[in-house]
Amino acid sequence: MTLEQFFGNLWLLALALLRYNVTLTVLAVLLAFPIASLLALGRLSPYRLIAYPTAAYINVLRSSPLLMVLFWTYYTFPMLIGGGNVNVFTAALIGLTAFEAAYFAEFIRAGLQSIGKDQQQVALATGLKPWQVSLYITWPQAVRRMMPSLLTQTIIAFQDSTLASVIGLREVVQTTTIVNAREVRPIWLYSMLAILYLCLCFSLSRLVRRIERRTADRLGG
Amino acid sequence: MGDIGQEPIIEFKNLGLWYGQYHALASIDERIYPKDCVVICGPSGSGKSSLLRCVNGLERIQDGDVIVRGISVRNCRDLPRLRYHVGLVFQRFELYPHMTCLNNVTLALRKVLKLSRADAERRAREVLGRFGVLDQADKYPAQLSGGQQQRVAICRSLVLEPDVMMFDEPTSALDPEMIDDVLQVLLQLVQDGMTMLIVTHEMQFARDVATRIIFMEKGRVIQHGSKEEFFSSTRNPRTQAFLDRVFKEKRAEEKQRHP
Repeated sequence: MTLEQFFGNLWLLALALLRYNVTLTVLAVLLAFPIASLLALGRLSPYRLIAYPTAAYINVLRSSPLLMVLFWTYYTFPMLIGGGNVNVFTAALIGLTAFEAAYFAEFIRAGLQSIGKDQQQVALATGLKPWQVSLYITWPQAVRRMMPSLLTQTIIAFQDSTLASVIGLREVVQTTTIVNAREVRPIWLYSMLAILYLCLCFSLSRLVRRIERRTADRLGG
Repeated sequence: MGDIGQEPIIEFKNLGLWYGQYHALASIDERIYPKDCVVICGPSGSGKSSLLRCVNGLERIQDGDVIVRGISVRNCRDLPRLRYHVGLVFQRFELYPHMTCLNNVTLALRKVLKLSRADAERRAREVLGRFGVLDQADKYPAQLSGGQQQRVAICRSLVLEPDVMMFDEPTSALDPEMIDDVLQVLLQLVQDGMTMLIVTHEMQFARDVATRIIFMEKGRVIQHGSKEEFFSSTRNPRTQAFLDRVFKEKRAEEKQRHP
């Protein structure tokens, strides 16, 4: 492989990574967070009619392999919305969002439950309304506490986004396979892919550790 | 002591409370008058904290009622409005750790009383200054000592200018050298004429400042009356047993500190 070819291929891979994997992950995470927040609240709800179905959703999705979820959205969704084709990217986005929402929901639930009840009662005792207590006391602290877990899960989602190749999304693994079919340099190409992922995920996980340490300083452990 | 004809500020009317099968409070009938300083004592699990929490509707009342400033807590439709007239301070301070002390104190002023930030901060600084913690205003609670945190927590309630202040074992989580610090603050409030309801094991403090003492056990009031009655020699045997134990613990503690 000449230097020119090397950088040409690296460029192709980086482009596919950015255009599909990064976009897919960012969109899925942004959509999953509000959905997961509702799921977490539902799961903590005193009403069984709300708590049980949300718990069921969370447990089913958390027990499923993402690969299966992606196939499921790809094949079943068009049927559910009454025929027609679902764009591959949309299918992957729905699948990943639904999957990550279930994981996020559990982190959010744990975060909300970790905030001391007495603190919320003090806030109520000063005349704040329950929604104000959530907005100013519970959620800001809970979000800070769950941030490291949410970001770690986001890194996992970023790695898992490569699974969308099985339903035909031209993301980075698919692209590598296509380039390899032309050039037949599997060791080179897949190593490049590995290094790309290593660099990104490693720096992201460093970032998570820094955030974790800052949160611990501020909240005193 | 309430004068004849004076309206009570808090009235417990045959109050009862259950946690599932557990009878936490049983037929409590008490009246708290303006400028009273009532100390509630008794062994742990006797329902002292639950009693305070009923006053501002943090517990759902199942039997009887509490009347606060003429309003029934049980049938109250606007609890937030009732609550900021009644200050509550917890054993473990419960400052909001993600906010500076100043913001801890201004939050309710801004969000409940809808004061502007500038007005809220002016009032907060004034109260913090009165209790000697103004220099801590811009720090986070984790940077303060326990005694300082408790004083900020007291300011957080007091800044709303409540009619009654309730304290749930305000010194139990403090190191011995901090206890007097917080007791001084309570004394200051009593001298300012604040109506107070204090759950505490500090019997010396009760003897010094209380106008009345309520002794509870197993969710019931065993004895109530003036402190003179309470500390006199003709006591209820259960009160006697409790006092003996508290003073014995105190002596043991002091022996440990000054051998």
